Amino acid sequence: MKRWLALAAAAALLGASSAMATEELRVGVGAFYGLSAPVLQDVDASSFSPGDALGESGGEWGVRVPIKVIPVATIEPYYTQSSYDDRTETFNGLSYSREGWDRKAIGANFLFANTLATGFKFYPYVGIGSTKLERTDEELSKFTWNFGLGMGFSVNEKISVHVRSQLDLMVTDDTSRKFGDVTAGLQYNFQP
Amino acid sequence: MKSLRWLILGLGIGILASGCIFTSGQIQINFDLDDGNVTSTGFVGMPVRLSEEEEYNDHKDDIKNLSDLALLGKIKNNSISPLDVEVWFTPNITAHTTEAQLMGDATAVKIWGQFHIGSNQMVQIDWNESAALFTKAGKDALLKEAKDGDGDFSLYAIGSSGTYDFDISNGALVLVLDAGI
Repeated sequence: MKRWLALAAAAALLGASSAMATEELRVGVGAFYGLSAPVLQDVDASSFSPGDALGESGGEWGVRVPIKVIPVATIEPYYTQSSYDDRTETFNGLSYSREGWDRKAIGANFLFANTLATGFKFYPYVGIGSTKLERTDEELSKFTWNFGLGMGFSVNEKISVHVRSQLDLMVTDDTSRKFGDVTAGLQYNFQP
Repeated sequence: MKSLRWLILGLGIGILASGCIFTSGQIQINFDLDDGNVTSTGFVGMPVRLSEEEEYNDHKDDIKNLSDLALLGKIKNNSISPLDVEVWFTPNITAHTTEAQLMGDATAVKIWGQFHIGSNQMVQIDWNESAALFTKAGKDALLKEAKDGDGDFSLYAIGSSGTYDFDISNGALVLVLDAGI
């Protein structure tokens, strides 16, 4: 699978670099905050209800640097981190608490819109990155896919507001750990 | 636009190569363990029959990994000497009643411990501490049994040395399996 991922990254880079060569570079910076929750993790299948699909949530914040590469697309390196609440469950009559993960992720999204332009935008995006999960005595770092939908509107030529929902798939060999995020943030465009 | 096509192609190849990462999850299976008394001169195993758990049978063919596990419950040290508890595993339902029998079983593997308890203390095992006490060999043995075995095995709690006398109550084995869904 690593060969396929390398091929995918190479193709994406080839596209991005050749596009950047022909476009005027426009850059912004954004910060966001929101909620994140594990999806389909630690699910008790014996008593599953749809509400159990989401685990204990936590706050998420991060920064993004949108770079316009072609008229209808934006590449956006990002850094984000989340801290999930502890999970409490009862086993054989006794109550226990399991420490929630701290999650840090770095990567880049490819947005199917020019989010550095003024006006209202509704855009899908896809990204790749690396995610690290940490809790006491445990650490896990893996390649991650991101998929999401965003909505943005300009306050003025320099500032815009963005609201996004995103699914992160942290690839663990043949399976994945999934996280769902809902965030809102502000973006500052360096060029009008 | 040619560049955009390359980008979409690249991302598309990557997503398709990801296989079943979309249709997977971490499934938790809990198994209550019998209460019991353990001494250095005699004990009984705690049988675990995952094969009787519907969720295990439903997902057995799709198990990929073991993402989390813990042994939970209360342990009461009945001795004036401090106690270090460890748990051993046999990949079949066995009926060993002494340490000599357990150690003579070539399939027995230490999977958990040591968990320290002071003299005459009763302690409820902490979930986080328990998860960290599993050995690599123990995780591998449990995963192998869950994936390739029949899912039925025995657990034995013993003292790590000397004479000991302790009670186990409200015990539970919690397994979180990485599996296709």
